Amino acid sequence: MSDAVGLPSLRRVLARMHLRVTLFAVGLTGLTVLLAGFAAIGAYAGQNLHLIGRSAGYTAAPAIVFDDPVAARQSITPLLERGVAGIALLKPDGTVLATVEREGEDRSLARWIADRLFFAAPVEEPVIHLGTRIGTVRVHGEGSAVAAYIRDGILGTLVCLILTGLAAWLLSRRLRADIVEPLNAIADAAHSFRRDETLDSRVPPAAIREVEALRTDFNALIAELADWRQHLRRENETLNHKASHDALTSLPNRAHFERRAAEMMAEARAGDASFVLLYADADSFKPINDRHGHAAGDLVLVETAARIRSCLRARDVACAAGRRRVRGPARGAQRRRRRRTRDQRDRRADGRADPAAFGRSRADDAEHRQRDLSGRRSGYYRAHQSGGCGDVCRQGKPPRPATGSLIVMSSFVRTALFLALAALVLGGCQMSKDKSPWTRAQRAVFTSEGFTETDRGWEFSINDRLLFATDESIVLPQQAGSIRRIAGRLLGVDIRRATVEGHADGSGGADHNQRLSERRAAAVAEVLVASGFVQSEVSTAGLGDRFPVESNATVEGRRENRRVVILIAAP
Amino acid sequence: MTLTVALVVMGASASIGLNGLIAETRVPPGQHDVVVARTVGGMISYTRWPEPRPVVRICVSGATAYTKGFGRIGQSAGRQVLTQIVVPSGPIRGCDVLYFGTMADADRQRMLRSIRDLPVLSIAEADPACRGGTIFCLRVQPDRVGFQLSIDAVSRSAVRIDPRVLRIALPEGDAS
Repeated sequence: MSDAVGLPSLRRVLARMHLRVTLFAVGLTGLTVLLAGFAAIGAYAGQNLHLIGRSAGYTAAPAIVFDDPVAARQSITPLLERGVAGIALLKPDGTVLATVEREGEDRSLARWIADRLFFAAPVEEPVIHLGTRIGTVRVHGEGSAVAAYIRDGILGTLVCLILTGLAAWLLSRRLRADIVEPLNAIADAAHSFRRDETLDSRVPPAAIREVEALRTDFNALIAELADWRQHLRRENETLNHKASHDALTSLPNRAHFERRAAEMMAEARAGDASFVLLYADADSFKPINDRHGHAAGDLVLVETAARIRSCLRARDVACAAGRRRVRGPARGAQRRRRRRTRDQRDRRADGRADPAAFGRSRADDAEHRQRDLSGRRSGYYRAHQSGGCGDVCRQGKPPRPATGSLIVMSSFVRTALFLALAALVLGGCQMSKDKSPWTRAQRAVFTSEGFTETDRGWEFSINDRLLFATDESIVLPQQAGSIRRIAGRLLGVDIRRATVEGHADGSGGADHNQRLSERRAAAVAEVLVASGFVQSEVSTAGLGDRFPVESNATVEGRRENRRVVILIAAP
Repeated sequence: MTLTVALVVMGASASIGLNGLIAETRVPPGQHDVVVARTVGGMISYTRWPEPRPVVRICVSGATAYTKGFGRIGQSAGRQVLTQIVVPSGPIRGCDVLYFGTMADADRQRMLRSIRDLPVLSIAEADPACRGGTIFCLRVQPDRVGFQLSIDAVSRSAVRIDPRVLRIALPEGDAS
C-alpha cells in the first residue's frame, strides 16, 4: 500500500494523457496551420508584389515612354498599398524615373521576422511597351500584413489550446464516471476483500463493455474465492475434528481432553463451579482381541464409547485417552498390583462403593487431581468392579493391564447436584442393564408423569407445568392438583425423596430473584409434603436467575425461565 | 465611354480650359527635335486604329520647327513610320497621322473637317491652348516638352487613345 500512495490515480493519468494528447494535437495542428498559412501568405504576398509591379509597369508605361517623372510618380502612388514598402520605376539605363515609399509604422518583432523571411529582396517586373522592355518596376514588400497574420494565428492557437484544455478536462471528468468509477468500485471491492476478507461485496454494473467484462470476471472470481474459502473452512473443520477425535470411537482424543480439562479447571477456579472427572479403564480387553480378533476388539471399543456417550448430557464430554499397547507383563503386573492395593485401601476407608467419592471435587483441588490422575484411576477401577459397566465390564474377565482407556468428564455447577450426577454417570450404564436404582414400576411412573430421564436423574420436565407468573410464587390450583397426583404416584412406587429447584427470570435484582426462586421451590415442596412426602426427604433450592433455559430477552423466554424443577434422586 | 471620360477629365482640368489634358517631358538643351520625335512616337504607340497599321504614315503640314528628328520616330513608335509633307490646301489621302505646323486657322479647320470620323491621329505643334481641334497639342518649352489631349477631338475621331495616356496627360496645375 505504501508504494501505491505516491502513485498517481487513474483519473489523473487519464487527464494528463488527455491534456498531453490534445495539447500535442492542437499544438501540432496549430503549428502546421500557422506554418502553412505563413508559407501561403508569404507566397501570396510575393505574388501580390509581382502583381503590383506589373500593374505599376502597365500604368506607368506611358510615363516612361514620355519620360515624365511626375506622371510616373502619380501613376504608381495609388499602388502603394499595405504590404508594399515602396515602388521604384527604373529606365532601361538604370536611372530612377520615379519612386514612392510608404512610411513604416510597424516596428514589431513579427514584422521584422516577416520582412526577413519574405521580403528580404525586392520584386522586379519589366515594363513592356510594344514588345520591348522600356523599363523596370522594383517593388519592396513589407511584412505588416504577414506579421498581423502571425499574431492572430498565435493568438488563435492559444485560444484553441485553452478551449481544448477545457475540453480535455471535461472529457476526463466524463471518463471518470465511465471508466474510473467502475474500476474504483472493483479496486475497492478487492481492497475490502483483502483487508476485511469479506466476500459479500459485489461490484455494481459498468457502462463500458471492457470494464463490465472485468467486473463480471471479478465478481465470478470473488464468488469462486468464497466457495474455495468455504471449502477450506470445511476441510479445516474436518481436519480439526480428526485431530481432536479418536479415529475409531469418534470420541474426543487425549489432546482434546487436556485442552478441555484445562478450560474447566480455569472455569472452576474462576467461579464456584465444580466438575467431575471420571477415569475409566477398559480392563480385560486384550483377551477380546486375542479371542475374537482385533476387529472385534475395535467393535467393543466403539460400542463402549457409544454406550458411555449415551449416558451423557450434552455438555458432558467423554474422551478417549488413547489405546495403548501393553508395555510389558512385569510393568503391567506391577501397576495392577498397585491398583488393587489402592482399591482395597479405598474400600476399607470408604466402607462402601460410593462412586461419587472419588469423582467429587472442588475447584481448588482440581489441579491436584489432574496431576494425580493415575492414582485416582483406582476409583474408576473400583466402579467397574463394584457395579460393572455395560458390555465393557461384562465381557471383561479379571482385571488386566489397561489396553485402552476412556475418560469421562462431566461438568456441572452445583455441588449439591453432584450426588445425582455421579450416580447417574455410573449408574446410567447400569440402568440399561436393569442395574438402575429405579425399578421398572418407578420408571414407568416417571415416564407417565412427564419425567424425563436425564444425566441428572429423572427430571420432571415441568417447564410447561410449573411455571409462575411474574414475581409470583403461588402454585395455581390446577398445578397443585397435578403435583398432588404426581406425588401420590411417586409415593406409590416408594419414591420418597425429591429435590425441588426454583428458578426466576432475569427481571429483578439477583437477591430478589434468589428469594423468589426459593419461595417457588418451597411452594412446590409444600404441595409435595401436603401430598404425603416427608418434609425432611424433600430438599428445596432456589437457584435465582442463574440458570435460564431460555433467553431473558423475550417475554416467552422469561416465562419459560420462571419455573420449578422437581428432581428425583436415586435412593 | 468617351463622354464619361470627357466629363471626368473636364471636371478635373478646369484650370486648363474646357478640353485640354497636358503632359510634360524634360528636355536637355538643344534636344527638342529628339524629344518631340520621341513624344510623337509615344503618341503613335498609344493610338489604336480600327485596322492595325503595320506602317504608320505621318503627314506633316504647315511650318514646323521640331520635325528634324522624325526620321527616328519608328524607335519610339514601335513600328515603321513614314513621313510625308502635305500642303495645307492639298488633298489628304493615305495619312494615318496629321501633324500640323503653323498654318492658317482656316486651312487647319478645313483639313480637320476633311478627316472627321476618319481614323487619323491629329497632332498640333504650335497650339498651346489646344483649341485648334487636334487630338494632341504639343507644348514645347525651353526645358520641357509636354502635350495636351483634347477629349473632344478624340470623340470626333475614329482612332482610339490608350487611357493610360489620358492618365499621364494631367491638368497643368498638378503637373507643374
